[in-house]
Amino acid sequence: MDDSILEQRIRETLEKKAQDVHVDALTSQRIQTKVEQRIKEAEHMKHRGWKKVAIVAAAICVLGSITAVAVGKPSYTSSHSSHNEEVKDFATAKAMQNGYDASVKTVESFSNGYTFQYAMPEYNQTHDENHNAMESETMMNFSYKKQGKKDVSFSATRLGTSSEIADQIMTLDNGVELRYRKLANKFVPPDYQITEAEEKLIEEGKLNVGYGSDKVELINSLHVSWVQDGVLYSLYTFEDSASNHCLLSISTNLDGRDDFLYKVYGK
Amino acid sequence: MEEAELVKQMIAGDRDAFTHIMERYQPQALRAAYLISGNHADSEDIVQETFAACFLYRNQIKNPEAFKGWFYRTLSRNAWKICRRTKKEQPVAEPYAGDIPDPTETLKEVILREEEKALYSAIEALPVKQRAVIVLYYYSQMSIKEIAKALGCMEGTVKSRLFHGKAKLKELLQESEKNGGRTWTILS
Repeated sequence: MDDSILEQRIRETLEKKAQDVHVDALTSQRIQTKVEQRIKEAEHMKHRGWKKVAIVAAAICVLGSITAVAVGKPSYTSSHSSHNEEVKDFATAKAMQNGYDASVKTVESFSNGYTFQYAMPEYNQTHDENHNAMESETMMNFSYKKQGKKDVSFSATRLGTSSEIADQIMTLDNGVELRYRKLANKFVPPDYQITEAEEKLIEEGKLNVGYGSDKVELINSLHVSWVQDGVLYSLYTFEDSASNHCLLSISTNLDGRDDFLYKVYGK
Repeated sequence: MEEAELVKQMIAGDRDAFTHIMERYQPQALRAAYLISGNHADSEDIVQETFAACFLYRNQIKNPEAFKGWFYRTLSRNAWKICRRTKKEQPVAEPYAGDIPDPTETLKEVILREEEKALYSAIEALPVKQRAVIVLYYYSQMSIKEIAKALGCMEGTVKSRLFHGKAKLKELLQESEKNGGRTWTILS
């Protein structure tokens, strides 16, 4: 086949296929509204720590990610929260969580010194591979602080299952499996081109890339997850640069408050 | 108003200028995103993310005269990102417009429709980066130099992707012919 004929046909075929896209006033308006919404959200996150949100989303995605990709089955989970809905009082936060799902366990402080700082509703949604929304839920996301340490976040969901990926697994006496993993996060500008090596790491679940930073930044996050009574619990924090060997771990026999047996400590 | 002037105003934070740019670029951008991703839902996501990036990261646009290249670079990377996220290196097949037979079609039109269908399937089968180059070159009518700038790669890489893309298309079409497809015809 002559190259010029092929080229002519490619042009004609693409032109014709492109006519499938009807850019009417409604489509145009819908896109513009969503763009405005995204800008508003991004500007809000920029001032309120979007990196943390990206890590939370990655945590849910990685820890609770679902491998099924068949049509009609969840393919990924998305999550969003807003600091505008922040609650600084534990009793109120607990009452809100009870309103969403009373069986989720919560705790005000840990015996190692981490104390409740604030909480906010987290809206989780599963999607199929065509981005169609499937199941949704609202849970509270709790944040804990300790002098001289990075904040620790705590979340719960019924929409995820533990990932098979873990750097370390600890089985407790009651049979609960704690999964620990360290995740590398790379925050990059929107036009950043991912290398093939990075693509491989993303596919292996070892790297989370968050778009929106002005410059390339690498931050590790530490995650511990476990499933109890059908709820996937997750604790996560940024790795403390001052203590590279900081380890987030949990033990069931050290803190019995609220019948919720766990403890967090950082070395 | 000149595009470069609009871009300058957008960089300065002018929302109206941004809206004008969106209106100007939207139809072509949506169609290019559709041709790269292969489906309507993804193409809207790609275009939304690209426009949002335009405004949010407007300070990164160093040369307003070269905005088109910046825009399509962001669009292509969003397309790759979304295709990867949805694990759709190969786009989901959507009905080809020519799938519905028109009783008034002439034989010439029927043959053309079949050929276009086979060719589009072959384009869809290309890896996403190769497909993007084909779309930017043949549909968006960008030059090799512009594509290289837009994709942040060497002109040689663009030429190579075009060459191999075309070779692959030729191969796929010849294979299709062998398997009972129609022989390529020149009807014009």
